[in-house]
Amino acid sequence: MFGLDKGDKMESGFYGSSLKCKFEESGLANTHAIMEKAVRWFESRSIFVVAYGTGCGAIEMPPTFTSRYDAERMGVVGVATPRQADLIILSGYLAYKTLRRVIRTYEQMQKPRYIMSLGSCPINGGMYWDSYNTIKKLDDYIPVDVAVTGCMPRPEAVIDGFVLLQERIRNGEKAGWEKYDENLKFYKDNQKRVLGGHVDPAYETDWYNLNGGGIA
Amino acid sequence: MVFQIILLIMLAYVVGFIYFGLYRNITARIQGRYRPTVYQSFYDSIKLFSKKQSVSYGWMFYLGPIIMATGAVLTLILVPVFSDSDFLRSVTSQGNLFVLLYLMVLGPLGNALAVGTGGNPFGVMGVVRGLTRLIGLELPFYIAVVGLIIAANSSDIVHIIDMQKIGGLNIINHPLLFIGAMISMVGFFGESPFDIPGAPQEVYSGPRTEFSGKFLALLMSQGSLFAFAKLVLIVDLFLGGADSLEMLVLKTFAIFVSIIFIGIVYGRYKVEQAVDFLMKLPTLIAVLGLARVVWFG
Amino acid sequence: MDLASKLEKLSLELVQKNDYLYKVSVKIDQLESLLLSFINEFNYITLDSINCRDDLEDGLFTITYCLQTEARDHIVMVQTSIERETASLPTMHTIWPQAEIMEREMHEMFGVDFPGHPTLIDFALEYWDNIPPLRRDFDTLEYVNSMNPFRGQRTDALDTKEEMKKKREAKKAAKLKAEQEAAAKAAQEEQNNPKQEVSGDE
Ligand code: SF4
Repeated sequence: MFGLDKGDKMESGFYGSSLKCKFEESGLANTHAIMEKAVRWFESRSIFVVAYGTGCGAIEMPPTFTSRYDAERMGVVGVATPRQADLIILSGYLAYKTLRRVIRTYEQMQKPRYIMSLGSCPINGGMYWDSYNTIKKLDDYIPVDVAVTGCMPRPEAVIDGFVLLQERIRNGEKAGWEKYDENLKFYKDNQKRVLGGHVDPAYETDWYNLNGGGIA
Repeated sequence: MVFQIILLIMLAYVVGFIYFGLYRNITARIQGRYRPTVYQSFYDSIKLFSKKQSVSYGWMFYLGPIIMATGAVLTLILVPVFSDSDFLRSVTSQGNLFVLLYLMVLGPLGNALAVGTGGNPFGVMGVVRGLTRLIGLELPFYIAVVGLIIAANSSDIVHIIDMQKIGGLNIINHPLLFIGAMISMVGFFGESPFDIPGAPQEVYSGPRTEFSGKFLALLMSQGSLFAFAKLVLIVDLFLGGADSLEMLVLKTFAIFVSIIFIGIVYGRYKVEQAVDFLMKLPTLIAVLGLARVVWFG
Repeated sequence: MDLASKLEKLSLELVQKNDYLYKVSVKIDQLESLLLSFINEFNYITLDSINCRDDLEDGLFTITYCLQTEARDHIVMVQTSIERETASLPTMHTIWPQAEIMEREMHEMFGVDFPGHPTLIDFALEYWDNIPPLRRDFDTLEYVNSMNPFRGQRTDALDTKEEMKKKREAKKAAKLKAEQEAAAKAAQEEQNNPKQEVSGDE
């Protein structure tokens, strides 16, 4: 498992995350710090997930959230809309068409918001490396907080990713959404480069009006 | 008195959230999962309150959750919580059952206004479904309440509680009314088979689709307050109220658990099916109970 | 009239591939009437698929219509060729509704035009403005490399061969050391109490 990092280590791509607790080093200065720590702890204990099945990996979501592995015991619950979600899980390769929807969904989420990607496709293209319609490095377009590797990662690995994310939230590490705000130009340029002028998808209603369904 | 009101709200908040935690716990165990902690709903609520961003669509959007919360808090204050003590007695004597029945519809209406401003089609769909369901839900409940009013010859809840002390509990005297009211209570709690407005696989979160952060937290909090108020109301009307905190928790919990069990076992009705069912069976039961009250006392 | 004789009359050759699969090649101007006669006279009523092959060397697109009988026991492949440059085909969506979406896909992937087709808009791709991706003159690899370059190496990555070599050597050394130690220990024990084993046996 690797934490993808953007901004400070642009060329090196991703590197293994250090999990040491920064908190013990700094110590608690005042009540404000205690409050912040408490809030972060609550944030880490309650993660609302919108699971976006972009690729094959969507098949590993149901066992993660249901009886067998029960992610709810860690406070990880699925919700239906991006407005309520803290975390979006992108499970697999992303076509350009999907990327448009993902960007819109991500920007509809409320801060603080996090992204988790499953599988090797979002990291380096995986087995879709030579597809004319699939992106290779997801973290060029949106900030990925946790990238779980594997093709496909088992639910244990996904849960490991949740634990890593919780630890990061608890330690107050710099999250992806902050990087997105800081390096907005970098991300937007990259998005424009592959998506052309159409970063936003057309509304689905337009599509229906054009009789896009096609079958009479 | 203000102190008492604050105390009551805090009590309802804590009990309501712990009940919802238990609800998630019990559901998880029945589904064969490990379970979240009992305090999970607290965590969720605190996290949502501390979110850095909550999208809004103008002042009406703000007002909706506030109207709902107002309805919940007013209902809570007007329901007599303890039957024998003077706790908030000066306030509860102001209201009676009719006021309560009005207040119970305030929430959905406030919600409808806010969701309309949000403009999300799923939200609007959810509200329409919710209001349609409300027609069916209210019928058996109102008939049951009217039956109780006739039996006690008063619309004052305190008087109804006092009557039960003399003549025995209403759940034994008027079982038909109790069954009718309980079936519609399952719907008021948003449980299956009547969980139509927020049906997760059909209309996403329904009315809550567009609410995020603080708004969602407010909705969740008012939901738990309102749930507690409704439980206390049922306990007052049918189980003779409660004179101590333990009795209150025991009786409300018994009602709550039975509602959960019904909710877990059943699947979801379609909108028409739900209204159809509510208009037929529970209404019939409640009407029979009413007839029994009118003719046999 | 059976199939073979009918086709003979039209001076077309029916190639039998196996028990249930036939193939006919026609000129583009005969195509529509032949398809209609397959439906009306021989009960090949279902359109399974429309396929396209890019014969770049001949400057042709080879189009194949797969038709199936109502009883699902025979398939006939009707093959025709069109110019790669103009790439235009009559639309079949009036005969088979499902042809609409197949033709839309072919339009997107090969750039074949269908005059009179109602919805020649994006199908799977969105806003594609390059050469249609399944044409063979579209260089996929070059396009991919220009749009999506590979991720650079990790800066802290190590050379696998050398690392493995080091590991193996370390293992060997450790094994050797352990053996030596064991031998030394055994020797020492023997030196310290050489007769105890014997006495133990008694
Ligand atoms: S990593 Fe493997 S399982 Fe995941 S999307 Fe790619 S090919 Fe599919």
